[in-house]
Amino acid sequence: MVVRTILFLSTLLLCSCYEQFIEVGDLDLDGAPKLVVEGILHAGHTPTMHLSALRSIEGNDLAPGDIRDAEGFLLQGPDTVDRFIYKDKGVYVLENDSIIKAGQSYSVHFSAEGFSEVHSDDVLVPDRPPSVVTSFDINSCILGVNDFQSCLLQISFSEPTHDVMLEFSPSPTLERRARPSISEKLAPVCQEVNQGYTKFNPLECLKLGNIDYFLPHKLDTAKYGDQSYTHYELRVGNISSSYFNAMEDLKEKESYQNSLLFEPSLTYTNIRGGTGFLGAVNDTTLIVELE
Amino acid sequence: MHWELLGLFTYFGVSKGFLTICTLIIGSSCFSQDTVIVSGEIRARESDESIYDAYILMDDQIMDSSNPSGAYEFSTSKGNHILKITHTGYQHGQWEIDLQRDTHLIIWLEELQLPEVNVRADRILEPSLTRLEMKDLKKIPMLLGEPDPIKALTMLPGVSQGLEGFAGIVVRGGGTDQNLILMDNLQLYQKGHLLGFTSPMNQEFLESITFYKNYFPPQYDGRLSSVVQGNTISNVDSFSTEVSVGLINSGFHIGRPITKGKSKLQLGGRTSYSGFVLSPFLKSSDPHESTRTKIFFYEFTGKFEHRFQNNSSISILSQFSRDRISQLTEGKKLFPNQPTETRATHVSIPSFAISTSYQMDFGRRWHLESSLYYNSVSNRYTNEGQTPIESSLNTFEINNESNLATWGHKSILSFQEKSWSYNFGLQNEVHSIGPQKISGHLEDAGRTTNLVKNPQSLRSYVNSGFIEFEKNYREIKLYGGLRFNHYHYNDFSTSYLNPRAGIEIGYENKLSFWYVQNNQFLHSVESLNSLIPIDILLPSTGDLQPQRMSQISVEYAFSLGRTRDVRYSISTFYKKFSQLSQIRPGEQILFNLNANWTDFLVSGGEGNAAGIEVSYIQDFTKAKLNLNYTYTRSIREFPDVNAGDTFFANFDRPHYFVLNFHSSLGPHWILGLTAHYASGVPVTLPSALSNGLSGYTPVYFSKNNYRLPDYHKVDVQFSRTWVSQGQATRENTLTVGVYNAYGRKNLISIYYVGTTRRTGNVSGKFSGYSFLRFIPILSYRLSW
Repeated sequence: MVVRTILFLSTLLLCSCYEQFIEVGDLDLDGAPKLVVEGILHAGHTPTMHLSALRSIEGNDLAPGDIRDAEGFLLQGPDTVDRFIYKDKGVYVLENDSIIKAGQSYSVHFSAEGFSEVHSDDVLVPDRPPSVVTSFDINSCILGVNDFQSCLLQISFSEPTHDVMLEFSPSPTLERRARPSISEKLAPVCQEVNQGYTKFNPLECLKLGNIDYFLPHKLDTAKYGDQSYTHYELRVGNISSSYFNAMEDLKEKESYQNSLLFEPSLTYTNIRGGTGFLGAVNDTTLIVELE
Repeated sequence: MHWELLGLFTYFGVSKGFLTICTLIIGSSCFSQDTVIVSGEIRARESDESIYDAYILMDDQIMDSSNPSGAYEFSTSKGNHILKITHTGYQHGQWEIDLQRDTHLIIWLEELQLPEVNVRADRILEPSLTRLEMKDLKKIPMLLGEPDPIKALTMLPGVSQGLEGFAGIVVRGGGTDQNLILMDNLQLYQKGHLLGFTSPMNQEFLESITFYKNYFPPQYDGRLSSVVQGNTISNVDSFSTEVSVGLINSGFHIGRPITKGKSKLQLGGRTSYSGFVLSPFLKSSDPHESTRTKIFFYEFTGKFEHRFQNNSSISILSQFSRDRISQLTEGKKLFPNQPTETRATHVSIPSFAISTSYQMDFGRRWHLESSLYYNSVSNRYTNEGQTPIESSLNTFEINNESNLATWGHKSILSFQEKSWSYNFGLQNEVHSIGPQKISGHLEDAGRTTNLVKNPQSLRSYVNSGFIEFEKNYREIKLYGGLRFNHYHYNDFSTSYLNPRAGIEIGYENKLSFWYVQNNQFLHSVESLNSLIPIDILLPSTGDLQPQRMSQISVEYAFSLGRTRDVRYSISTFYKKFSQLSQIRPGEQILFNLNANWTDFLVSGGEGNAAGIEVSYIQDFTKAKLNLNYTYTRSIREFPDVNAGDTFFANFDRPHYFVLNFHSSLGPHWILGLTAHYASGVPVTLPSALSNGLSGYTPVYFSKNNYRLPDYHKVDVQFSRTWVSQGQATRENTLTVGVYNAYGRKNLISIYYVGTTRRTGNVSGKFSGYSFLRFIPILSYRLSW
């Protein structure tokens, strides 16, 4: 009888210990209203900045989502270069369409009612785009299932390059994407020097880098029929460290949304008083023909 | 009672039956005509072992305390005196004695039947230690019903458990990697089995655990916060067998003398045969996925001892274990008529350790112990699966392995005299580390990519010398020593001189001060965000300097009550860490072909921890109550973490309270009850959502910006012990109870889940893993 009672109680107790995923509410987190400033200073172009407000972690508005009445300035050191005015959907443009100059440092400053003032760190616009040579050989193409074919594009940098962005747009089939989809550091090339054990210091790395990409050429016939991409626009740019760090941070956050193998890191920002980033790029566009 | 000490060798039975005195009158006084020399030994009546640190009082004045051999000596005036002997854990004695000449007294004390923590001593210098007897641990309710010597340490002030589901303990604001775990001379790298639910040491092999947190004798080093010394059973004079059967794991231990009084052999093993209690906690959080998890471990331990005729002995201790976790997840069917998406993660952690120890006595004063040891542990992870992508089936398999092997030598030469003890020693270790070996392949759209990363093994060397001493001077005890460490890795070499010192003043009411400095040469890559155990050890380098800690602590312990059955202690400490390391934020440790092992950690961290610990123990006739409260704060600061700002350490728990009570319920039953309350540990959570150019993105403003809810639970168990007579006398113990008896949903982690609505907005929420509620305790133990 005692044994039976023990077994019964054990079974009952075991059945009750399986709950594990619990919804946690009302966390007292630092969700004060803050401005989010994002923008890229593109050498030779007039910049646009995007302003928004942080939302609570549950997705609720902490402040009006569209910041229309902010006052903003583009600065070089203490000097004002131009004033930002509201355009549409959180986007601010320069009042006098000032052009960003390569090799110059800029910062931005914004203030809006209900938010703390924010200003960015100084960001240096790279003085020139990278020197790039592309090579493509039709014999490098690889066949996949259903006639899918991708081809190897080799990109060589003819001078030392630290942080670069690459953007491929198979034109005119697809529209250019809103932001660079690929950013690469040339670190792996340099790391081979010391058997992969020496911490990479990009400033000391003088070896030139090469990057290989497989570009889709002929698409999956079962799904897309007889379609192919033959014309690519390749945008290659030298980018500021702030731009690189922001892209890396974004990739990292997207990755560890679905993985428990990451140690969370703080969100990268060079905007003081708020969050977001101010980046800079100096790029060039190359045309790649796959036939 | 009055004795005239006359004659030659006299043996007396003494009052109350708890003390026996053997006297030997030694000639005439050679000291002076008015004084006599009193010398002798203090021994335990039952085991005849020497009793260390017993106080000898004459007319309420402390004359001496016994040294590690139990010997004492002092001079006093001729005539009638009141002699008192006191020692924690033994019946106190008091006699009227008439001394007319030099006298030698051998005194046997009877052991008190004290539960839980008995402070005792061993041959080696063991100041400021706590000794837990395994027979007492069986009275404490434990998950799985097995006495766990590591988890039992969390009943002590200043020691808290990390998290349920993660192995290891946290001592005084340190980390779970900062505890040196030894089984005799064998260092164990694993902190536990079954996700930390069972101890890395087979409890059936252990006689006791010696735990150091105030003062580490200089013979110990290599971890920053504590030393956990498991002492294996030494008294195997007859054939004995013990078998335990529990809900999840079972074990056995056999002790057998091979040649009576000379050779003995012990064998033991443990295995789990079902992870069904634990496996639900490794389920995927995605309701569209189904997950099957298996958790399993086995372990074998063996010890052989042989005593030679020339007062020397040799012992060999070895342990082999393997932990396995497998998790298979089947996902959604993305396309009709195609296989479902599957992925599997396999973890295998084999370890092997062996040590050979040789001991020899040179006369009464000199003793040599020399050990050679080897241990290795590997962490092997495999991810495999298949993902249907449009018209093709992508498959992958990737293996990630890290391993550590250590060859070591340690020799200690001990010298003991009346009031002094010295230890001189050398220790040498070679660590061979394979930080990350990756292999595997990807099949993507008909294209195969082989994944290979196989860096060469790394070797580091630690050579150390140490000297330690202990001096007894009436009610004052001095401890001290130095340890010199020389570390070498590739072209990086560094040396450290670590002083350690302590003083104890008083005997029954004791005030003590301690100072220690030590090093940790292995850096731990430990992820608290993964439910699969990640615990990789890396060597120190020029960029990843050896970690250091210095600690100062003060403790005052005193007793109250006529029979001193109420004991209090209060202690405070401050410790400072430097050159700490921690996992690099944003770094993926496993399956990462692009990262070097040097990128796994950020270094150069500073930290400090301070706290106060209060303990209350009361003995009743048939029960014992122990209350411990600890207040600790532990802070870290790294140049590359949290934007350089300070943050609370991962296991910072300001408040930690433990109640432990057990009582006899008649001749066969014992009730055990423990209650825990602890502040929640810090975690890093996003503070808000950004809705910028990249869409909705969680924003992290600071590290460890939130705490898990407070942790509390009560465990209750009843043990019934009875003896059955057959061909042999068998002792049966049945233990039943409940772990987390009122079903508290204690969270072990919180994570953020964001869902994009059709409107494009995001709704987010936090979810958490709760842990064990109402877990039954059920085990049966049979020994004969």
